[in-house]
Amino acid sequence: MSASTDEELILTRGSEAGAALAELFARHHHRAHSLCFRMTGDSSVADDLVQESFLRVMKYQKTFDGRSRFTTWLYRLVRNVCLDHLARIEKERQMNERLTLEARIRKDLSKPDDRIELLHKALYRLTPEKREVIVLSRFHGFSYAEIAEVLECSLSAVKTRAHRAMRDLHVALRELESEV
Amino acid sequence: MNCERAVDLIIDSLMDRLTDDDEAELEEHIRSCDACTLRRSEFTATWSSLRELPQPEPSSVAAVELGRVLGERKLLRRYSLLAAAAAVGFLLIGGAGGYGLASSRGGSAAVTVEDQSPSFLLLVRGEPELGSTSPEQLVSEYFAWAGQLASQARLLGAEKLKDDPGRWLGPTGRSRDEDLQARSDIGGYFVIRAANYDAAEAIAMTSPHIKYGGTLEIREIDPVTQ
Repeated sequence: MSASTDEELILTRGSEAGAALAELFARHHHRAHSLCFRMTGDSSVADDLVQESFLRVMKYQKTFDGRSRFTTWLYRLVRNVCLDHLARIEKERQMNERLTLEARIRKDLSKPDDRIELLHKALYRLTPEKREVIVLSRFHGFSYAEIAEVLECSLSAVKTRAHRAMRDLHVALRELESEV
Repeated sequence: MNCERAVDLIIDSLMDRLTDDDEAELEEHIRSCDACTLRRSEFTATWSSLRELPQPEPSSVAAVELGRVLGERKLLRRYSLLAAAAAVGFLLIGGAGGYGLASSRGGSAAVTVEDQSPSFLLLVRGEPELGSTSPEQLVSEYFAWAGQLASQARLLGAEKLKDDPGRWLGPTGRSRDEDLQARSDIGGYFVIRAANYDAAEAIAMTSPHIKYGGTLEIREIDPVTQ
């Protein structure tokens, strides 16, 4: 089973389906966690979102039609889980959310480098929609075309979002540097 | 080309690939624009620094938690397969932090076929010898093996033990016998269902632990009832 492709595994049915899903979990939960962490800034929240993501993988397994790569489908699904989570937080409008988040970010930062810490904070000043473009590109090596596939939007829309995201990141970084 | 367009292309060059024409156009602009030269170095530095952001590993608790969540939601049998397989998949990979899961926490729904069969304890002894096999490959094999067992409703539980000598006790309290402690080579255990010893042995022989040179001790569990 370990020699099977991702697509063969997700399309596995019957008594082998459990083992196939377990194999997919083994292969991809690290990268799913990476994406969730980059989107939320909190490793323990990322753990929860990975769980939620793989529950959805099982729930929506039958909707995978093989037209896209499994990883594209998975990224799309994980991204939706992250956005749902962020929207939930926004809706709840917890007054101390920002402080909590930043405290957690500090906790997750092991490298005591000021600039890196500021960059981390700057990343979380972006809207989730802008942040995810940077995350998918920088941390997951996606091209614009691949990002467009995950986000289900046009190439030009991705480009526009990327341009704004990187500009905003720089502005946020400068603001944070001036606050220090 | 104006500076606005130049910044777009600088970003494109970092996040994707420029066409030859765009690259030539950008370079021509950069040569004549000090501000964009500076901008490019700033964007490049930021882009480079992003790579240095810490990346935590998934929590080893995650698989256990997944099992718990699955158990509480009483999902379909196959859902529990993932939890059990995820747990066992990381059983012996010390670097992964030691995933562990007792079926009672999340996988009990998996046991439906052979509830009346005897259960066996598989004590995991010794270290697997990886050779040229990567830890990732080994993990995949554990996942596949555990998933297979779970799909046959044979996997009841599994835990990894901490990598310390533990404590040996006797009538006089804690033993200081280092030779005794050195014999402690148990790294974890599986609990499986099988028809008899031969069947349990046949299952055990297919495990990645045996494949990679480890030892499994099999003991039939003798249920005690009042």
